[in-house]
Amino acid sequence: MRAGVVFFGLQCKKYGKLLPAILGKSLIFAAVMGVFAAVAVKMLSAESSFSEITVAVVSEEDDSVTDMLVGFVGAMDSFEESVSFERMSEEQARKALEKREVYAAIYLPAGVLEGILNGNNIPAKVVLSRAGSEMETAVFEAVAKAGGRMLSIAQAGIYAADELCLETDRKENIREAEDYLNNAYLEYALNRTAIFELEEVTAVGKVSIQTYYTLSVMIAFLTFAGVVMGRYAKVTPDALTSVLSASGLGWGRQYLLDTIAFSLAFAVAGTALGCPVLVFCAVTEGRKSAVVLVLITFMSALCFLGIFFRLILGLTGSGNMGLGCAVVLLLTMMFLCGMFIPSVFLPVWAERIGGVLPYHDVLEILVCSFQGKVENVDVIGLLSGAVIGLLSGAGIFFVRGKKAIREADVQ
Amino acid sequence: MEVIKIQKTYGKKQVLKEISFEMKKGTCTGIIGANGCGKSTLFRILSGGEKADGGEILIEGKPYRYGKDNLAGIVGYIPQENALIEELSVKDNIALFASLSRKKPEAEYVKSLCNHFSVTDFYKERVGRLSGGMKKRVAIVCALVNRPRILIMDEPSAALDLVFKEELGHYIKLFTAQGGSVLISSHDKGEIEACDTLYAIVDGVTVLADKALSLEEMIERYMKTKRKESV
Repeated sequence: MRAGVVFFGLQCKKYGKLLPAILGKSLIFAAVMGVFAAVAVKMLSAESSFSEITVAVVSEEDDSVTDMLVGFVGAMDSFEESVSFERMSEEQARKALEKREVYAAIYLPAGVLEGILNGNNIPAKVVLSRAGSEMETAVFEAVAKAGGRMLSIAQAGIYAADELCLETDRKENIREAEDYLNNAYLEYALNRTAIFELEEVTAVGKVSIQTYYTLSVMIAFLTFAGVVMGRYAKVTPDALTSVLSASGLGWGRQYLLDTIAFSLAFAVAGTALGCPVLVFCAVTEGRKSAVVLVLITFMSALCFLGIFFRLILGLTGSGNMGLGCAVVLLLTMMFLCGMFIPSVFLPVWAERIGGVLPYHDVLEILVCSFQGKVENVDVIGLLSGAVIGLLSGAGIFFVRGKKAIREADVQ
Repeated sequence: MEVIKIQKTYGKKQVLKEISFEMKKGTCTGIIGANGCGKSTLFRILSGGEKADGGEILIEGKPYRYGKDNLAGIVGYIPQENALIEELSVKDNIALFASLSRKKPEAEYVKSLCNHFSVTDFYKERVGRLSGGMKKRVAIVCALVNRPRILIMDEPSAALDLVFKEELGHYIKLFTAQGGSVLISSHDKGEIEACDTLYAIVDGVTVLADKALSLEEMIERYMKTKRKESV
């Protein structure tokens, strides 16, 4: 008993002493990996970023009615948040298109407004830029076409009513009919919105995307730190293991005590390091009351990850080759669990694999903690994972040890 | 300590076939043999770090039960490899070994041990920063910290300087004079000559060795005996 306590205390001391060196190495390692990750993300998401669509409006008639029309269209729900219109001359619009400062230019010919009102519909020319990122251009094209269709449907109804009035000799009712139809269209259009219940759905779940990625980056960084720290953990039994074992401190106990010391040191240091960031995230999420739960959950999750790292290093070994393999393995797991790109954007097979990997549970429980409530299922999942990790790790430790002794003795 | 027909097999290779010998109280027993003959395996078994496939070990007349009996305070083992925690100080390593025995060693005894093996100078130093010879001295202190009655040393003089080799020789004499037993494996002529009894492991079997003969001559003699037996 006393030997176990002393051994555990000394292992904690060992890992505690190593923390500054581990942190320094991890920062360098994370910086290198960060550069690679940034390049990879840039390559993967170059076509997926979406910015505001700027559209040039060129009007042959430089009048206040065109300004009013541009202002009106720009204020429409479908455009307001994504498209901004700028009045320009034809020359300015051409240059802006060439310089990719605008995604499209609309050329309004003379009498375009009268045409809409009287049904002549003089077409406006839309020039789309295909030079740079095509996503904004494509979105604007779709929105413009949809707007055109809506306008033509509304126009068709009104012109049909005008025609009916003319054919039935009720020319004096045209204005009244148009007003009626306009009101009816608006009323039905507004009522139709009630069919759709608006619910905000994000790819990252119950926290904001900023918090999600902050958590991901922290876990990724701590994973590097954990792997660097794992270098100092004993993954293969040595002479000391045998000597201690002969004196009553068996291999299994040594592995368990060492792993728990490793995980605790990792969790305490990781939480201390991440504490300001976690508090900031909780405050920005408007969940100040959940801070304590977030910190406790984070520390528990890191404890679990510590056990998991020891298991992985037990499989790969803690030499340079082994550490490299462990990093690749862990990075793949993190990717599949949606730590770099939310898992809903991954292929279904990748999402399914990610769903059973430990990082998934870790992220899930952390995200939940920001809601001020952790599901029992997640806690049980993490605890059972820790127990399985410890037992499997001890088994691997035992097998590796026997193999090492056999090889040494047979030689 | 009495070793009776110890056997050990790894896979298909039988490393130890029949190892039998006796270590008397207050004597130094030497084990010699070619590299890979099973000396380290035997020492690990005798120190309780490995289980034998067959045979028996009697310590002070009582059979030793692997995994059940705690050998701290009875057997002190100095393995060939480094058996210390490199990231911790000498003091911490000694404290770890001191915790293995039920009876806590007196601080005065630990201090005198450290002084005797000149460990005091680097007592608070991290083991990873020490030279091979310094580590060996620390390992010896760790093995002796629980006042064992039997000391098992696997090539202790490797990495030690001449002065310390001599000091170790003196300590072995002192230890045996106080009633302790020493089992030593070595390739060092001086250490072999200092042994009261000498055994050689040849083909997985112990044979009583003659200090006057070289290892090669002893192997030849053993093979002749074996051939006669088979005829």
